[in-house]
Amino acid sequence: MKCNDVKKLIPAFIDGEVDDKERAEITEHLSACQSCSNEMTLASEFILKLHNTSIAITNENNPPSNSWSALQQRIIREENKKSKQGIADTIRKLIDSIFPTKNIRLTLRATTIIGLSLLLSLGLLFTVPTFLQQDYKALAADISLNAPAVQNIINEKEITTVSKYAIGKADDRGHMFVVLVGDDDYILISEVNIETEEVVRLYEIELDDHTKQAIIDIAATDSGIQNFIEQGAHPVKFGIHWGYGLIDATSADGTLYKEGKLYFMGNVRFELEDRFYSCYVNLTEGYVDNAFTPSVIPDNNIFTPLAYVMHLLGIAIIISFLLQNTVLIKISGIISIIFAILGMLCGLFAIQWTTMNLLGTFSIPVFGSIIGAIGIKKNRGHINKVLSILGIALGIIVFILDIIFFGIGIIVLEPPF
Amino acid sequence: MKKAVEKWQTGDIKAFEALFLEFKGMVFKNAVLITGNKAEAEDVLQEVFIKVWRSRNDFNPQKGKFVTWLYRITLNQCISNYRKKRLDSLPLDENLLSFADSVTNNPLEEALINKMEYEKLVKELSKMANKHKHVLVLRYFNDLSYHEIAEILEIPLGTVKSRIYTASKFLRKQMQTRGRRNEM
Repeated sequence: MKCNDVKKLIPAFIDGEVDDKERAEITEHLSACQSCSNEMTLASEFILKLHNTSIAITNENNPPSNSWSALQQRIIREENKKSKQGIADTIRKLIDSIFPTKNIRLTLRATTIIGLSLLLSLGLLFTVPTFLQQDYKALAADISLNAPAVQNIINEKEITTVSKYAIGKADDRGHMFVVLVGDDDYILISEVNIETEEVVRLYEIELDDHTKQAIIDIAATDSGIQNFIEQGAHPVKFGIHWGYGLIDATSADGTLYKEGKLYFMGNVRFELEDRFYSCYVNLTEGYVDNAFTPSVIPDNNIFTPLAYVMHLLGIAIIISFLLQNTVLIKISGIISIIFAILGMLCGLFAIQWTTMNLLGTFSIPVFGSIIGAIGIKKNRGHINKVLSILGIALGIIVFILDIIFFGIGIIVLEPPF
Repeated sequence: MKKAVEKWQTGDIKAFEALFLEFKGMVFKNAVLITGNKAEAEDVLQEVFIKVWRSRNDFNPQKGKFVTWLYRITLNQCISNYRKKRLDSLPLDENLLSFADSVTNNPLEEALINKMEYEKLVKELSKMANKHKHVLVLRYFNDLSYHEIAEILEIPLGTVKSRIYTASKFLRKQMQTRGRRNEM
């Protein structure tokens, strides 16, 4: 072993950190080399000095006596703070664990919001109205069908096919109307008290000559029809229907309440050469009512094409979210608000209940909510924040309005049984 | 100590206090040696144990000893404080130097160390690069084996040997130079 190699190993030799072979070689070298031997002496003295200094430092250098209490107070403060943030932290960690990287987090969040909102909307649309109505409707239908008076009529008239439709909601008296037979020529409706489970009254109408004449007589009170008849037009097609509404009534003690009111309606078509004139009349009240049925939409209703445009915009907005472009989000925010207002107008002006409309009903609040969520997340300026909050607020309002004006009405008019 | 570590990991503050009392001297001494400043060392002591408390769920006893982990945190905290407060520009603590006076009053130590030696040591140590300072402090002021030092610093055993050789030779020369200068 050379001098340089030995000198490099001297501290390790003193510290007892060399192996047996090295130890033997170093010992042998030291016995023959004065220079290395001197180096060994100096290094040993120095290392001993360091050790002694260490003992002195350990004995004399004690941390301050209050160091534990200072540390303890700090820990207590931290723990208290942590417990307050515990719920928020848990939620954040959960979201972070679901959405592993920041880049995809926003997109995934938006997608999740879309999914959850759709589920929520669907759930509300199909459960809330049904939940409120279905039990009473089924009960009312059973009461009326099992009533002896109803059975007698069915037997007398030899009716083989009986369909049952509960109309509207129970009124303040607990009365509901159930359509038991409703074909082209004969309608039988029973008014049922769902509390006493009794049929209170039966309404029936048959499309006989007498009824047809009544329809013509009422239709003739309309100046347009009258003029058409005078020109030589004659009735070619008749129909009978029923109508229902809630009216304000006053009880014997002066209390105001809502009472269900049933109307029989008729329609007739007058024909003169290649010209037609249809008329809808209220047979019960005796007046002409052209806009009776809610399912009829004039072809020139401007809201119909508007609804389709809105749906297309909705799809464009979804795509813009997926692109995650800030400018597009800003534009989408503004479109969302316009979209929500138009949606509200469409809801109020009765667009036909179609698949596209169904999509529109929950797409509006969904878009509003997503834009709101992303806008707040982005947190860029007050205008964006305001737009975001408006987006959410309008979305919710439109959703509620849609449910009120469409959801309940449509489901009630076309019950599932 | 094993039980105290286990309890501390479950958030037991009493067990943590026991660990603090057991190791506060070691952490403080090393912080004094590395930072060369008592006030700084107090700060390091607090920060080290706060980190220990916060990291109780991260420490894995299967992967190494608690004390090894604690040494590592202490050294890292000293580096972190050094960077944060630019310690190289701070003067040595006068209180720290006055400690040497108290040492000379101890008859047992009087023969081995004197005020000048101690002052020189701390000053020269504070000037050294961290990698050299750390091996010397761990070896000669904590009496750790080369193997333990390698584990704490996460470096090979051969590197520990060469760093101790370089660091001790440098420190000795510096102190000899100062000593001669003082004698003149």
